Amino acid sequence: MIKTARFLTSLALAGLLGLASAQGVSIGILSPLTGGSAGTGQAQRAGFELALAEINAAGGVLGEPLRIIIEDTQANPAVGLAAFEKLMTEDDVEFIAGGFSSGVTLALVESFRTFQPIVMWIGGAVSGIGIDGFDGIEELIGEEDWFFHIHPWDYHNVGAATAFAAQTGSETVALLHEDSAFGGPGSAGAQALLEEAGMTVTLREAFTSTLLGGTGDFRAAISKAAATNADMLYWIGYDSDVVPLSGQIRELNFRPQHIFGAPPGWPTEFAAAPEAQCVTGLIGFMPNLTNPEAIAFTRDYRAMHGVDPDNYMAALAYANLWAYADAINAAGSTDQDAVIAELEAGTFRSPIGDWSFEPSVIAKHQGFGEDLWLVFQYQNGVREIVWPIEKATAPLVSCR
Amino acid sequence: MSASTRTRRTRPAQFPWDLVGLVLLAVAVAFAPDLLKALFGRASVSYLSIATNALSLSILALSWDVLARTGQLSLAHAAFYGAGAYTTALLARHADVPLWIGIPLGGLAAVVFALLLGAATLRLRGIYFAIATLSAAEVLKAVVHHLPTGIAGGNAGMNVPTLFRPEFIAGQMERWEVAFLRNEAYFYVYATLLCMTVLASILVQRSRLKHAFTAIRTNEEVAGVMGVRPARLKLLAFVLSSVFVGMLGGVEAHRVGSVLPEQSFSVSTTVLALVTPIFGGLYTTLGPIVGALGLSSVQEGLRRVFSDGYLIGYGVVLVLSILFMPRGVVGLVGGLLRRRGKREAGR
Repeated sequence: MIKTARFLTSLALAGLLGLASAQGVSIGILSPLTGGSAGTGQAQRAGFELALAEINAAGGVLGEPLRIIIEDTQANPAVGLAAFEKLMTEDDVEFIAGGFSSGVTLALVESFRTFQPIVMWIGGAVSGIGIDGFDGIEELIGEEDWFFHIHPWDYHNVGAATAFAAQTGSETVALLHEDSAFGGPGSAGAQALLEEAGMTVTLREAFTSTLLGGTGDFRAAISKAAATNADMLYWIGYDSDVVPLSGQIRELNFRPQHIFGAPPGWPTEFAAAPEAQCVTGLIGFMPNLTNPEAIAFTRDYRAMHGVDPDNYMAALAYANLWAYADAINAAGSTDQDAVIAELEAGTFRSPIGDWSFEPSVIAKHQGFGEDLWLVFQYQNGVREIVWPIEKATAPLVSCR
Repeated sequence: MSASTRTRRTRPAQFPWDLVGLVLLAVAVAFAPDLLKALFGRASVSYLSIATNALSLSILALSWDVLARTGQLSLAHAAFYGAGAYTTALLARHADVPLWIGIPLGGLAAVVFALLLGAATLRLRGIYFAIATLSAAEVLKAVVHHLPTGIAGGNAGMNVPTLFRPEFIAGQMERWEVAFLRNEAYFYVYATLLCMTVLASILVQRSRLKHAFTAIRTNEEVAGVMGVRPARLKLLAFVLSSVFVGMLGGVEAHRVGSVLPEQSFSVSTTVLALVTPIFGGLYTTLGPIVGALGLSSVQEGLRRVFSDGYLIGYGVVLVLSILFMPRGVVGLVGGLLRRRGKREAGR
């Protein structure tokens, strides 16, 4: 009776959902395709789809077409947990990719530990280093053999931004930051590093990002920053803050030498706005990078999706899937130990350049560190790379 | 008073369908995990997770509905949820309070906050009350942000230990069985909390509070003239509404392993608490639960078929239900049954 019911239910579900029997290697992907972080999730998906097309055109994985199953986390921890468990128990995947949002990643820690698939993660950048009594992703699972973290940790992000700030010659910096888990610890770390580098932080002021319910009126915070007459305005927020914040800086006639923003992504159309002129920003990938991998990636991405890969998460997702394909092919099987050995030993392709896993402060397998980051500057409607110097396409100019 | 007493004495005893329903619900949830495991094997892990999320939504929706019965459009649910989550997390972190005591204390913290908020806002009406309650979550979020990091974790939030950590015994079980045991335990905790919420709702519906709440909702001035004390009863509804959602916040903090200001005081918590009973049917015990189970099923079904485009279908379902089912699913089904009953009686 139970067997019959089970068979009929499975058949009905399979028919309803149009599920085909899985063949070849399947990789489960968790990404925020909807919700407040949908822009990042859609960029990730675009990068995964491009990599998948290329991998399968090149012969697939272990001689079979590679298959990806993307589950939406909505950047919601409880939804992300159910999505991961679906991948593990309904789709029977052995490999997990993707990832975004530290809250979702923290919710997955216990379940990751239970199933112990290979997890190669391009999100969850929160490390507890420097935060009393808090264990971030790096502390909780960074030392696990099966965990591979590609995205830099938050201290890498702050380190890169501070290194750029130091080389601008600025002596005083006003720090504005959004007030969530992204901007709060980031600004605390930034202040410490800026002061360590000999700069004076004249102000550290929080605002609520428009992404998280803020009104988009940043005038109070900007006015406070302007009153300090700092050489540099350094802000940490989200993509949706770029336009109102930049517009209000001009409106209030605040003219520091340098305006530097560190959101995860920048709106494409912002380049054409007059208030974009001289604004600098931290970014993980630029379509005008001149290395051959970046040129090929930008060309193929544009051909497949009809737009430029503006969000660096697309490049990271592309690197993520290719690393899996190369490691599994090199291992010759999906045996976990063999694939882990190949991931540990391998050097992988990416639009950012070749990369491999090295230890970070705590984590055993860290992909990118400060080296991922670039700083660009809007110059006459074009985003020029201005840092690091060896990748620069134009020199940095002052806003004054 | 004497007239109403006489009325109660002469009224024929009604069959307690609601209490029978509660017993059936308890029995159903008691057997659900094992049934899922027998039917779906390892996939039951995933289905239990989805079912737990649906239970969570049911608690949120039903507890909101209890206050809505007084006619108050409260947007404070995110504040109650967050107050419970943060209290539980703070007690676990600083006072080493046993986890099972921390969760009820989370509910108590939500009640205390509800009393303070209610005392300050319940004399407001309509949109003014809604706006005042909407700001509650923002106020608590700002407090958490500005407390020293060593106390509440600031923007980074706090780790919260899991309630259940079943051991994996190599050779005797598979890894998915560990996940099943954990999910099963959480499922029972959420189900217990839902049964408590349902019981509270039934007790309200079976007592004179139901009529008092309805009178306040219909016309507060007239209710006052009739001897109902609107301010006191609205405060009571606020308390009943907050205690379960505060406990839910505490349980959920353990389940997802952390509290973060944006996560715990998210406006989406309030929106879900409000939309779900409207879909299922307002001012009833069954409506919010039907709404939660219905919306969870619709969302999950659409998500599996349409990937990220499912929210369009989900939105269409909500719009259509508001347009064509103003009294929700329960109201529609109840109306159809009554019409059928009349037709049959007329033959």
